[in-house]
Amino acid sequence: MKKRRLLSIAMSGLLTILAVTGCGSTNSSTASALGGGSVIKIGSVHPLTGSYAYEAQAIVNAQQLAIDEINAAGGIASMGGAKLELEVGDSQAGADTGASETERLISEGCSIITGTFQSGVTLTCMQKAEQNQVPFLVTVSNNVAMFENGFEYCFRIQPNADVFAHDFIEYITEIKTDDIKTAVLIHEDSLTGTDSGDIIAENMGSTGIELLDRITYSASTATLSTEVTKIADLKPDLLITIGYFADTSLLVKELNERGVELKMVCGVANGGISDTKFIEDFGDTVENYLDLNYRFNPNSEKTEELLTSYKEKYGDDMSVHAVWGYESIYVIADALERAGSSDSEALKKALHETNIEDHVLAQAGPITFDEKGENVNAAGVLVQIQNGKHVVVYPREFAEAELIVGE
Amino acid sequence: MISDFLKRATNSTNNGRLTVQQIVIICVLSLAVLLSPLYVSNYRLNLIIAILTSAYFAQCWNLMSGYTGQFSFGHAAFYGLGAYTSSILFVDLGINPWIGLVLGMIVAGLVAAGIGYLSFHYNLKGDYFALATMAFCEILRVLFKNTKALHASSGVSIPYSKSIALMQFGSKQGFLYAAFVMLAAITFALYKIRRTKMGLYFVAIRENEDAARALGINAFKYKMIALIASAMLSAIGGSFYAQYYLYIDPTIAFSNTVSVSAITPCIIGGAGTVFGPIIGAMILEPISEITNAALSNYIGMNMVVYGLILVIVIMVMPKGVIGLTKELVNKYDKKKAEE
Amino acid sequence: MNAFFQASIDGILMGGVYALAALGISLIFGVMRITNFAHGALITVGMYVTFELCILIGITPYIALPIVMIIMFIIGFLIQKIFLNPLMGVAGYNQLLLTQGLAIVIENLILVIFSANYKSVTIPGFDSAISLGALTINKPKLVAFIFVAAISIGIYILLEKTDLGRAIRATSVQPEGATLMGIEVPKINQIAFGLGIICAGVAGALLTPTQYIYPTSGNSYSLKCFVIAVFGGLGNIWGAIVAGLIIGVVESFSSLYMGGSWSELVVYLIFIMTLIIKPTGLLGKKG
Repeated sequence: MKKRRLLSIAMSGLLTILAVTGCGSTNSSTASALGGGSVIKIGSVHPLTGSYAYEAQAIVNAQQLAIDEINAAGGIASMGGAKLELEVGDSQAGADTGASETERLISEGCSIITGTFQSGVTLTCMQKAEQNQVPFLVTVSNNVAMFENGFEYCFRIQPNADVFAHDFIEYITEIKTDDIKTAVLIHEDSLTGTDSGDIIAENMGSTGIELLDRITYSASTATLSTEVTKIADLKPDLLITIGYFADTSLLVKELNERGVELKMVCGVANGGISDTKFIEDFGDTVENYLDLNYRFNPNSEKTEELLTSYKEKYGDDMSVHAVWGYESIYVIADALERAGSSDSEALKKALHETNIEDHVLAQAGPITFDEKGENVNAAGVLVQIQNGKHVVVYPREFAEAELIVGE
Repeated sequence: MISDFLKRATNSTNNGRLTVQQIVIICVLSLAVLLSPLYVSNYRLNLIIAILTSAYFAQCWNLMSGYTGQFSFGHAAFYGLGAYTSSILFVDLGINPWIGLVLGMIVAGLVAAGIGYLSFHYNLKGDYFALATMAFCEILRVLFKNTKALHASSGVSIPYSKSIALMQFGSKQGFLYAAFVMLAAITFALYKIRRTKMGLYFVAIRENEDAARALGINAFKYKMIALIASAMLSAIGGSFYAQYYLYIDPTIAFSNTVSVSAITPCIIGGAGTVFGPIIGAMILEPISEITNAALSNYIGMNMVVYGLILVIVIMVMPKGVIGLTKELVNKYDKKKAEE
Repeated sequence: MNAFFQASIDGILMGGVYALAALGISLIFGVMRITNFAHGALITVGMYVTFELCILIGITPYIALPIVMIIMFIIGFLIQKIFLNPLMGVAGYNQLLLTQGLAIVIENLILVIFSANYKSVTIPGFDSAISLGALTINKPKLVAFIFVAAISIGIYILLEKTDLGRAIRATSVQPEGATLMGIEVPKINQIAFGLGIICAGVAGALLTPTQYIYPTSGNSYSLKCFVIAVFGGLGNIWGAIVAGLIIGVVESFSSLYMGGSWSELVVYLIFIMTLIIKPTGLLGKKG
């Protein structure tokens, strides 16, 4: 009996050691490959384990891709060709872990921290970066309030929930046809969904479309059949959906099975509709679905190269979230180049003076930050699924194809 | 020599008094913490603060679950209430967080009284009680998530200031000393309680509730006292968390992870002992820190290793570090006596 | 009115899957008095095993089910043998924490091995629902319901009509007595744990056509399964089934009339009411 217990303990011990050494053996391939010159560390805190691991991994992949590109092109010229290095932290989808990872990365000499995909965690990490007077650049997180705290060291490139919601209201008013009279808004009930949901619900009146109902659900739900029943009962012309990948897919699956007929489906910063896997899974049935989302500029050559090299390197289509990971590194590299130093004060000052014309984002005008740290020109575009591909249909300057409304 | 030292150090039969060895260990550790800003980097202070706060929260749990044996799996409820009360009152009504802290304790105490009344009146025990506390915590999470007046899912963001009057201790050192005082106070209280009549009643209830009742101990009353005290103290921990991290939302405040974090250090160190939770926190926090840092490029492996270490520790020492040390020392003594 | 009936159908079908997963928890608790917090993670394991079988051999989840059951039984058997058996007889919170630790390990091993990518299984012909007038029935959920019924009956027969079942029941009533009767209690515990994990795995397998598969996809079932197992009476098989159906319907109605965000609240309230009014559960014996 005793022996057996010892044996089992020994077995689990062995497993642990194997796990650690298994990792150790493949270690340190990135650091040694850099060669001479100094190294500038960039911290990246994302929920790499837990429910958002898929999205988080894509963002970190894209950051690594950008760093490899910059290093291959000679690093930061003004700093003697200094190379960039990504230091990864796992927030485990938790605020306190995210904060302690932020502090760990700062203590390991990161000049700037990026992150974190979840607004609550991002805000906690921003607090820590601000206290340590180290710049923080948001990769993905759209909560509005977090930039109302008067932070000096925090920056965000992506459009916030307010921009998303107002762009949605503006665009939908422009593109709607006369037969679209009623709408139902369905969104998940965490910060991400609620933020935009509130603003849209408030402003639907101005679009001339009547909002029949607002349905909320928990993103971790196992079923949305009752919610779909409600939608089927209300028979709206337009369905507005805000959610992550898994829950939106669940929604669409049930809508399809029931054969619920909708004249128009439009997501707002929707993690499902804008993902290529979504089209792979649903094929024809999601043809003409719309999503108002942040996106890379479809009409730039740079974007095309980026999408190809991402797919080559990681074997997967680059998600729209990942683009922000990619661009965040270029914004940092640009600031470093101008600052000529990785000192946090200099870097902060340089970030405030950012003015990048040459970017891959679908926004009119350069990337520049206002006094709060928000990207002034951040905007959403309307994406439509046409012939199994995502194409931008609105606003016109980014449009790849004509908008298709109705059958 | 070492065995003798360990024996004295883990001795709890010395009339309930501390042995010299125990006092030496406590003094050395306290000094190490108090002087740490002198020799530890600003970042490492973080780890020490994490150990102190985690030990504090585990002590709160220990007071109720370790001492009276009522196993709570939803201590995040009280933690969250403390965090929310002080934060909402401060942000919305401008009430000083120190007052909010006290009000938070009262709110947590009242909710605990409600939970305790329902649970103990209807005699919930063991796993049933554990699951009930977990459900209460989930109910609070859903309520906070869906109530606009409580900021719903937006959570509460607290402006950063450096004023002690606003319960922000300016620097890491400030938080370090605050956490140290909290932990020292609760540990001292737990140590004192053991030697009172109430402490004996607590243990009697844990060991055999029916027997305790038969002896005329009002089990309901003492379980209620333990739960309410534990809840009020947890609320302080929650307020402290909110002031340290400056942001809370329902999933952060009432998460299952928080509840589990109250339990693990206590069980790893030794539930129902005065110093178990501190030892547990001293082991667990660095492990999680090390796995995170060392395996940061191997996503998921950090958690696998942490989980495996947890599993192994529980298997090797089901009675915690303190229990295991005692066992080993006893064995050694026996062997010696046989020789 | 239509919505009412539709919500009932959806609730019952979903409840069937809940019931099966909860059955596993109930069985394990009934025999070993262990609250298995790794149950949700093992549901996820069931999903991944099914997915891999579907991809590797090219079969549908339903045909893969027997293999899934065997694999899950082995996993459960080994978990009990290696990790839980040495801890039988020590304070209950150790097992609780141990299963919590195992859940962390399992969930993240899946992440390491399979990455976090969303995976899905599609069955040809299953992309539309059966329609009965204005009402619709989800095909995979209907099939799942039938399987749940069959497996529950199978487990019932196993427990009631076989020697093994009698040994399991004897162990659950009184382990010491069972030992005296010559029953190898540790072995019985391992088998019972294996059976419980089969329930988790099959629930996972049956969910694959309707749900995305990712490392944490089973987690949302974990707490709900506890609720159902307690509601039905821990250790009571029929109780778990009935409670599962009730919770499924309650959840469906509260989503319909109160909104999905609140439906969790109703479920937990029922749970606490049960604990207070009748802790032995819906079909449990009195006090």
